[in-house]
Amino acid sequence: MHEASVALSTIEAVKDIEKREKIKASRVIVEVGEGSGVNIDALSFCLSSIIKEEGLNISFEFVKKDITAFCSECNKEITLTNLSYICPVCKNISLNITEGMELNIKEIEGESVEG
Amino acid sequence: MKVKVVYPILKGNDEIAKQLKERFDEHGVLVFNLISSPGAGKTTFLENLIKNLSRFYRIGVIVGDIEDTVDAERLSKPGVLSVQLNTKGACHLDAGMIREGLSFFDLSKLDVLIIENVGNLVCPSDFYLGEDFKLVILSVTEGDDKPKKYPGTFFKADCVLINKTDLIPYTNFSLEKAKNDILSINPKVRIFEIQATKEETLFDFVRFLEEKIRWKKKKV
Repeated sequence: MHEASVALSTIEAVKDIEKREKIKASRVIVEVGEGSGVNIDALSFCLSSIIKEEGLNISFEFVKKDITAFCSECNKEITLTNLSYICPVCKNISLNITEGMELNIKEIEGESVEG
Repeated sequence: MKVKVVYPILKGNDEIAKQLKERFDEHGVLVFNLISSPGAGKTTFLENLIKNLSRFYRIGVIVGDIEDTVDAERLSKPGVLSVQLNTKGACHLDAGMIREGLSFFDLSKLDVLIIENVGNLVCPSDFYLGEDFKLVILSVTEGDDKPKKYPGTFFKADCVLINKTDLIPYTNFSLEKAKNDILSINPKVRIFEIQATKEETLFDFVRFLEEKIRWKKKKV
């Protein structure tokens, strides 16, 4: 259940962006890579508890990202399933992960605040 | 108004971890993050590893547990400084906790720093602590199905120790299946078979670690 600490970090991140962008967030989009180890349902549950506790009015949306990698043998991007570092086409094990490990805030929507 | 950003949620942790890594590198201290489920044999393994290593290297240990100090007491040996961190409910160590724990150490007087994470095969692997490598222990009594059930941790491991191999005859654990499953998740991982209670079964891993210690020293 490290989603509880991830949720706390998410709220901190939102507050940081709010301050930087002079905005009051009402909608936040979070991208969660398959390889990030974060369970979206658990994260969503933890976030809703914090929002209630802190009296915030923010809705969270999640974008799930597959793990993709560049296979030097096939010379193209491939999607990795079941958390495995092997190219499903040619079985190459020298892959460069290009996407799918991220845990980022991607977009924040809200009203701008002065000052 | 919409603002597009790329703001890593664990930025706070990763920034601290990066600073820790710089401090470890500056002093040439090799750091590994030891992860396993509870009861896999982390502390017993470390007791015997330290017995082997402390003759030649200066070792520090940071032990993470939810409560209690029994592990740090077990690992406090002459010449080995061991610090217990209690996470008070948290299922993993984060970089901020390591930074606090480091206040007890003089990095210029260490060759190796071992971080024994909270016993948990899920969460610890998501928090980078500035380590050089992640070491995962899988024990025979947990069952050979665990790598496929907890792929995240094995995906991020640099090295896996299969522990309690002397118990294989009393279980339905297949060493071949366990190894194949680990390698199917992470084909480049190094696997060692050990019996943590028997010091002599650790020699291959000790040699591997000594190479790493020398490599880290050379980088300074």
